[in-house]
Amino acid sequence: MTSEHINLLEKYLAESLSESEKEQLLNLLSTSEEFKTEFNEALDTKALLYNAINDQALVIETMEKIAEVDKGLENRIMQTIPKKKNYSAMRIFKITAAAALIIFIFKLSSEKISTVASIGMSPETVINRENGKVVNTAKLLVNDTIQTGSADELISFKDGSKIDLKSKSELKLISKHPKVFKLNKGTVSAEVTPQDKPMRIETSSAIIEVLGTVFRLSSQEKSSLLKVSRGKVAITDKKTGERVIVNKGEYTIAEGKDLNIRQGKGPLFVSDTINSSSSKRYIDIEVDLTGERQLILITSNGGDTNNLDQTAWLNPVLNINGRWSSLTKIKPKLIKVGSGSLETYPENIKPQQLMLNGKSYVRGFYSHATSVLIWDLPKGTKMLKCRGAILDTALTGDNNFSAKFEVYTEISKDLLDLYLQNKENF
Amino acid sequence: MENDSDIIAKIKNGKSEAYRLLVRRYTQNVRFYLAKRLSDHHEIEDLTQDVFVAAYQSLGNYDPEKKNFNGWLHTIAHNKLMSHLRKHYATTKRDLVLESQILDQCDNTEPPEELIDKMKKCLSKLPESAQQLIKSRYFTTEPVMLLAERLGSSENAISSKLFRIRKNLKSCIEGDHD
Repeated sequence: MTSEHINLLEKYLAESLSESEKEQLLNLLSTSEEFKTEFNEALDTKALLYNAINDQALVIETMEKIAEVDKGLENRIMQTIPKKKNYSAMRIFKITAAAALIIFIFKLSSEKISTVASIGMSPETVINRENGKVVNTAKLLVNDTIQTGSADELISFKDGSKIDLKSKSELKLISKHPKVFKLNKGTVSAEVTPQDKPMRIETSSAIIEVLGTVFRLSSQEKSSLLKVSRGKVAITDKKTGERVIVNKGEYTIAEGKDLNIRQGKGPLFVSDTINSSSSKRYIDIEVDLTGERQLILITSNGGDTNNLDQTAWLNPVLNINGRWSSLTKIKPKLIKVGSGSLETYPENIKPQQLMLNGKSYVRGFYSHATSVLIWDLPKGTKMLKCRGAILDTALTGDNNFSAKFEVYTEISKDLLDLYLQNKENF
Repeated sequence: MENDSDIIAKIKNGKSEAYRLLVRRYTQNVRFYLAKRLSDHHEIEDLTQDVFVAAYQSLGNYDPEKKNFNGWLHTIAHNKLMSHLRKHYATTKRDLVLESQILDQCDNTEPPEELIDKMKKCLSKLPESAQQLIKSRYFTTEPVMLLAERLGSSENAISSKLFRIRKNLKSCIEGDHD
C-alpha cells in the first residue's frame, strides 16, 4: 500500500472523496487485489469499531416505533400475517384452488388496468389492495392505496400525466375516468396533461380539481397546502365550503378558515396547528433544499391567544453535498423570537431545556413563537431534516399552547412583516 | 435459547412483544453491515431501527423454511441502505456505480460477539488521543480538513496514522498483541 492509496482509502472511510478520487478508487478496486483486500479489511474493522463503541441493542426505540406501526397499520399487518398454518391435505387443496382463482381474477383485472397507471415501485413502496392484501405490482387497480417509505414514487399514466408521490405519503386511487384520488397523508407533485373531465384529489381538509397543469399538494391531518406552478387549480375547503381558483405562481392553505391566495413560491412546509387537542406535540419535517440559497424557519402562534407557545426546532440537520451537519453550527442572519432571546444548544442552553416527552435533545433552537429565523445556506445544501416541537415546559396544566411550524426558502416582504409584527403577540 | 422460528410464530400469533427478542439478537449484525458503508452515527442508528421496523411490517411474507431470519434481515438492510444512499449520497452515475460495487464486495459475515468484545478491549488499550481520532474521523461528520486543522496536522499524516491504528487494532483482535 502506497501512502497515496492509504490516503484514498481513509478518505473513502471519512466520505470525503473528490470526483476524480472516486474514479481512481473504482479503478483500483477492479485492478488491484491487494487494494481490494485492504479495502474490505478496512470496512470490516471500521464497522467492528462502530459496534464496539455502540453496543446497546436498540430494543426500546425500535419497539416504540413498532408500537406506532401497530397502532396505525394494525389491520393491514394482521391481514397479511397468516393466522395459523395447518397443512392438512384438504387444506393444501383448498389453498391451491384459491390461488388458481386469484391468479385468474388478477389476470382479468390486470388487463383492464393496463390502461390506467403504472408505478415505479421503489423497494419501500407498499400497495394495499382493496381486499386487504398487500401486493407488489407495477400496475395499479382502482381502490389501491400506495404508501411510500423514505423514497418518492412516480406514477405514470398512459395520457402522459405524472404524479410524483413524495416520501412518507399515502395516496388512494378512487377512479380512473375521471382520475380521482384521495391523499391520505403527505405530498404529491403532479404534472397533468389536459383532461376532458377534471382530475380530483381529496384530502382530509380540501378537494382540488385540475384540468391540466403543474401543481403540488401537501396534506396534513387538518390542513392542505396547494401550490400551482402552471395553469390553474380549483380548491374547495371541506370545512367552510369555500371554493377558489389558484393560478400559476400562487399558493393557498386550506385549514377550515378563509382561503387566502398568496403570490410567490410559498412555504416548502406548513404544519397543522399543534395544540392540546393534537395527537402529539411534535412534527417531523423533511424538506428538499436542492439549489436553494436561503432557509427561513417560522413558528407562528397558531392564531389564538394561547401564550405558552414554547417551540423548538430539534435536531435540525442539513445535508450538504451528501454529508449531514447540524444547523446549529451556522449562525442565523436574522433572528426574531416571541419571548426572550433565541437560544441554541450547545452554545447557550442546558440540554434539559430542550425536553420533549421526557427526552432531552442535544441539538436545537429554542424559539418562542412567533419566531423568524433566517440563514444563508452553504453551497451544495440538499435537504433539511428536523423536528418541530412544543416543549415539555409548555405543559403547565392549562394546556395553554398552540403553534405552527413553517419552512420557506423565499418569503414576500408583506408576509415577513406580518410575522415580525406578530412578534409580541403571543 | 428460543429459536427464531418459534419467536416468529409467536409474533404471527399476535404476541408482537416477542419481536423484542429478535431485535436484541440481531441489532449488532444489522449495525455492523450498515456501519461498513455509513459514517454518521445518527444515520446508522436510525437506519438500523428502520430495518427492524420494515422486517416487522413484512413479517407476514417471511417464510422461515426458505431463508433464515438473519439472512432475510440482511436483504432488507441491503435494500434500505441502497435506497438511503441513492437518496442522500449518490449525486452522479459514478457514485451509484461505486456504491453498488462496494456493496457487492461487502461480504455478509457478521461479527461474532467475542470479536466485538475483543475490539472493545483493544480499543481501551489505545491512547486516549488515538481513540478520539478514530471516533472523530469515522463516526462524526466533522470535515477532514477541520479535523486536520484542529490537530495541527496534515490530511496525509492523519490518514497514515489512522491506517496504522486500524492495522494495530486488527492484529490486536486477532490475538497477536493480546
